[in-house]
Amino acid sequence: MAVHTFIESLGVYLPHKRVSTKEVVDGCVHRPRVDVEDQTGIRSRAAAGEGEYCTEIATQAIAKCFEISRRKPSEIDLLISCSISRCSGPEFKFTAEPSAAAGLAATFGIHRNAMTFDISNACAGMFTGVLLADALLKAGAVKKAIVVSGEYLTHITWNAQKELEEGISPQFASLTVGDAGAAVLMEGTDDSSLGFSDVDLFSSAKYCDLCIGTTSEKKHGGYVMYTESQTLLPNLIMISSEHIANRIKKLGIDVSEYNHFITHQIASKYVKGVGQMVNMHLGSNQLAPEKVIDNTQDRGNTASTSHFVALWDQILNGTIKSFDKILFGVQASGIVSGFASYTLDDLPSRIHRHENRAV
Amino acid sequence: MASRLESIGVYRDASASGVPTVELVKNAINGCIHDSTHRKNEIDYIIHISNYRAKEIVEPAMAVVIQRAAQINSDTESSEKDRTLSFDLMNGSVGFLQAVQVIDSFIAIQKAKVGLVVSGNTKSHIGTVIEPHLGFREMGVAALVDQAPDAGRGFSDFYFCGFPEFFGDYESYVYFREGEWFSCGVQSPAIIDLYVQAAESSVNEYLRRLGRSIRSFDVVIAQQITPAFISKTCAALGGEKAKFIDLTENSDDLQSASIPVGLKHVVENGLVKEGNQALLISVGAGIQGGCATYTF
Repeated sequence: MAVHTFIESLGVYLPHKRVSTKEVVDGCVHRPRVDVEDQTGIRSRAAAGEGEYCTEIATQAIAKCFEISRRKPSEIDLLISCSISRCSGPEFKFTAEPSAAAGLAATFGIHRNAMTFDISNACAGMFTGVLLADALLKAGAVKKAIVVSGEYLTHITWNAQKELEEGISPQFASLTVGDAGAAVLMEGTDDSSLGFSDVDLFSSAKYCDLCIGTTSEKKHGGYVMYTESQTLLPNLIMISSEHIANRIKKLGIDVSEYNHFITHQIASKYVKGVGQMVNMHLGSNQLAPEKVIDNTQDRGNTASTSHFVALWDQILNGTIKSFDKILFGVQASGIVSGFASYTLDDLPSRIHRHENRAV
Repeated sequence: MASRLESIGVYRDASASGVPTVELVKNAINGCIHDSTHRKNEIDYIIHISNYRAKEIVEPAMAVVIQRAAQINSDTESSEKDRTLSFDLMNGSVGFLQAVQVIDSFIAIQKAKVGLVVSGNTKSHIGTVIEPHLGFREMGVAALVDQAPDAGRGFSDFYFCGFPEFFGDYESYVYFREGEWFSCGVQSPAIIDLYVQAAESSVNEYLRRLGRSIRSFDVVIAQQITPAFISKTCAALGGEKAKFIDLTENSDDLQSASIPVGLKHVVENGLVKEGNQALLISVGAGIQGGCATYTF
């Protein structure tokens, strides 16, 4: 039985099309009263191009993950797809069956005895997938796992441009999302100095109706997301920051040994707010502001992929290095709160070598 | 350290169609908890597995909505109190065995004591239904999984197999065209035979790995798709018809509820006794097959 699980490889795919926040706002029938870029810190995001849907985005992320990995598709015996959006084709085609994971397994020639399934848990989807992979690996049920998410979300932005009401609109948050795919290849290790030393999530379900993604009732169809941001965000920050601080205290984690803190990437102010509130619950400023990763500026909120897109970007820009230690904060509608503590192996060096950008 | 089904709740409103998933499941949970030695606050995980819901909600997870409706640690805001993680696991009919294996793993690594797998497929799809699905029975199911009291009981030997060559032979989806939503199911005319083929191949490989014959099992609970699927699967595997449970009521697919409803049926009707073993067989879209052994 493995002591820890670790991320053997990471692949991220960002669609090539870029859309600025100014372009998003200029396209709104009713412009929001607040300055979206100023409020969120989001300058631009990647957006899926023609013919790109969840499956294509997830496929690109897995392909990159395998390029960097030392493993072959035939070695994988668990594949979990975690996308919120299940938009798999034109005309807002949302697939119920078969699972996206089964399709991705077929695309990559993953062993037919692999366990494949989809999960859905809003923006906590990928970390829920990591939690499941961690359990199945440690229990010895599987040996190599891929957790993937292909988030095609900007279709709710294009709908919000049409539907946004004047004043405070429940569709404001739809203007902040970006598209991205992320895939991690996980396996077990007996080395307790590497990998996940803790992954912990729970749902505070009384808040489940504060953010709803569903079909639009307007003539143009498609999907929309209604968010009561003024109630959701303070509760997300409060519940999550207390959870993170509780795990740190309970596990006796020395925060000074950790190099980075990556929380869900909603907006700059939000990311900083979570860091500040963690310190408040810890009763000291253990989490230094420079450790708090803000990756929102040119990515927006990429939902379930946001932690792994941030990890990828910060590895590529040299901020996160091999053997660095990272604390993760997970927040999602539901409300879902999560925490993870992680020590990297030489993955950053291998990613740099692959991307031809030596450290 | 195997896991077992400690309690199973089933809810069906035969007089109504389109009952929301949350209502179906909430009623099933009430029955499940009524018959259980566990209390709601002990539930560590809720895994919701149905694919067909009353409304096309993509966020949050339906499991969280069910958690609140059933009042299972729903007011918990602190990680230090009784708490539950809820999420959806979607993989058609094979999802039940996979969800159980997930909970089985959480129990094995001592990250859970009690898990709840719930399903509530309902026919109230959005928009106009065209090319209807194979058809399924609307019902709520709640299966409470905990650690078996002694070794050798409960679930063992999970096995899954994909048949990517049949990937496009069953698909269901919604789409929006010219101002209208449609729910659509597309299936091969030979879908039942393909499911039989997948079941036969999966079970034969499973039995080969275990070094057992199908006749060594006391009862067989296969996917409850149609009477034809069950009889053809029995014949293909050389099984004994009397051991194959058929609850399809003449073509009424139980979908992701098949295995828990089948297990409840054999226990409540005295068809098994302590120490008996059931072979569990799932098949679903993908096409995928799944097997497990259950020792009573």
